[in-house]
Amino acid sequence: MQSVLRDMRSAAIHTVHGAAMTTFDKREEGFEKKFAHDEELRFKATARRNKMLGHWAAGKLGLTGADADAYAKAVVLADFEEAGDEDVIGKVRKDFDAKGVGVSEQEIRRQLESFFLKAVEELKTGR
Amino acid sequence: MSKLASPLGLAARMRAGDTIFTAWCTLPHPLIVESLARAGFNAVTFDFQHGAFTFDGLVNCISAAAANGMMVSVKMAYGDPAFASRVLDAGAGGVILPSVNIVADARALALATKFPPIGTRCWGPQTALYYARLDRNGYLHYANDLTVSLAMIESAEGCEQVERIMTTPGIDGVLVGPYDLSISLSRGRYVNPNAPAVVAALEKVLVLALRHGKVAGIFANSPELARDHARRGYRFIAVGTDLGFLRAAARAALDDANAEPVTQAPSLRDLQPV
Repeated sequence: MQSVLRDMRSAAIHTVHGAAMTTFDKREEGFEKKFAHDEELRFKATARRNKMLGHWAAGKLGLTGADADAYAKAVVLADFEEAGDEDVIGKVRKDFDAKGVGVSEQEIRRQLESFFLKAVEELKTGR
Repeated sequence: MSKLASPLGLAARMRAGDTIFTAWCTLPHPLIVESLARAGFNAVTFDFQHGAFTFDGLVNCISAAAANGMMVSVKMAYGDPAFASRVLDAGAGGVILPSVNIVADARALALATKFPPIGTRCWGPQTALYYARLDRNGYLHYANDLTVSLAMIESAEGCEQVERIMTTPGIDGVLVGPYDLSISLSRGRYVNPNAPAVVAALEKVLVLALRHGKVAGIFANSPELARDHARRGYRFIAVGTDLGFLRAAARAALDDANAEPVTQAPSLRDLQPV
C-alpha cells in the first residue's frame, strides 16, 4: 500500500510540475486521497500495469500479434495466484529463464514500477 | 513463511502446471478451514454434495479461506450447475459439478459459470470482484480464464464421453471420482478406488487431459494415493477429508495414549505427597 501511494505521488509530481507548491500539494493530496479510497482505480491501474509488462515481456520473448496479446493476458492472469506482485514477477522471470532471455529480475521489477506510473498517468488523463 | 494464495489462485497455478493438493472440507466452520491452513494446505474444496454446507456457511468458509491464503474450489450438489454461478460470485476460484456423464451436463456447467460468448453466467460477483482486485469491466474481461470449471467423471458413461466432455467450450478440466466410478464400472458390485478397471480409466482420462491441455484432477482420499496420482501426472488432487483427518488423528492419539497400558492402578498411598 505504501509503495502504491509512493508511486502515485511520483505520478502526480510528473503531471503537475510547474504549478505553485501550495497548489501542487493540494492537488497531490486530493489525488492521493481519491486514489486511496477508490479501489476500482487502483485495481484498474494494476491490471493495466500487468498488461503492459506482459506486452514488454512478449517482445523480449519474440512474440508478436495475437501471441503477444495472449501472453500479456496470461501475465495479467498470473497476478491472481497470490497476494502481492511476486506471482507476476515470478511468471515473467520463469518464462525468460525458459527461453534464455537475459533480463534480470531487478529489471523486471523496474519495468513493473514504471508501467504502474504509466498506467496511472493514462487513467488520470482518461486514456 | 509461505506466500498467501488467493482464493482465485487455482486457474493460474493450474495453468503453470503446478501440482495442487487440496483438503476436502465437509464441515462448514471457519475454524476447520483455518486449521487446515495452519496444517499447511494452501487449497481447500468445500463439498456441497456430501458435506453439511448451507450457502451461508459456505460464504463464511470462503471468507476464512481467503483470510488464510487458500485457493478455493466448491463441489456442487448433484444436478445443480446453476448454483455454481453463486459460488463464483462468492469468490471461489473453481467449481466442480458431480456426475457429468454426457456433453449436455458439461454444457450446463459451462453456461452457468462462463460469461458470453462462452456461457450465460449472470453478473453479480460480490466478493469475487474484491478478491480479483479488478474493476467491473476488468473482471468481465478476465473472469472466464480466472476461474476453472471442472466436470466430475465418475461413471462408465462419463468415462466413455470424457474427451467430448473435457473439450466442451468452457470446461477447464475434469475431476475423477474413483469411488463412484468403481461402483458404476462394476455395475454396483463393489466400491473400490483401486480396482483394475478404475486404474485403467484413470490412465485414459489423464492421457486425454494432457493431450487437450486440460486439468486432470482426482479425489484421492489418502496421502499414499495422492502421491501416486501426482507421480502419474494428475495435477489437482484431493488428499483427504476434514472428517477423515480428524478420525485418523484421533485414532492415532488414542493409540499412542494406549501404547503402554496401565497394568496396575496406583494405590492412594502412592499418590499422597511426601
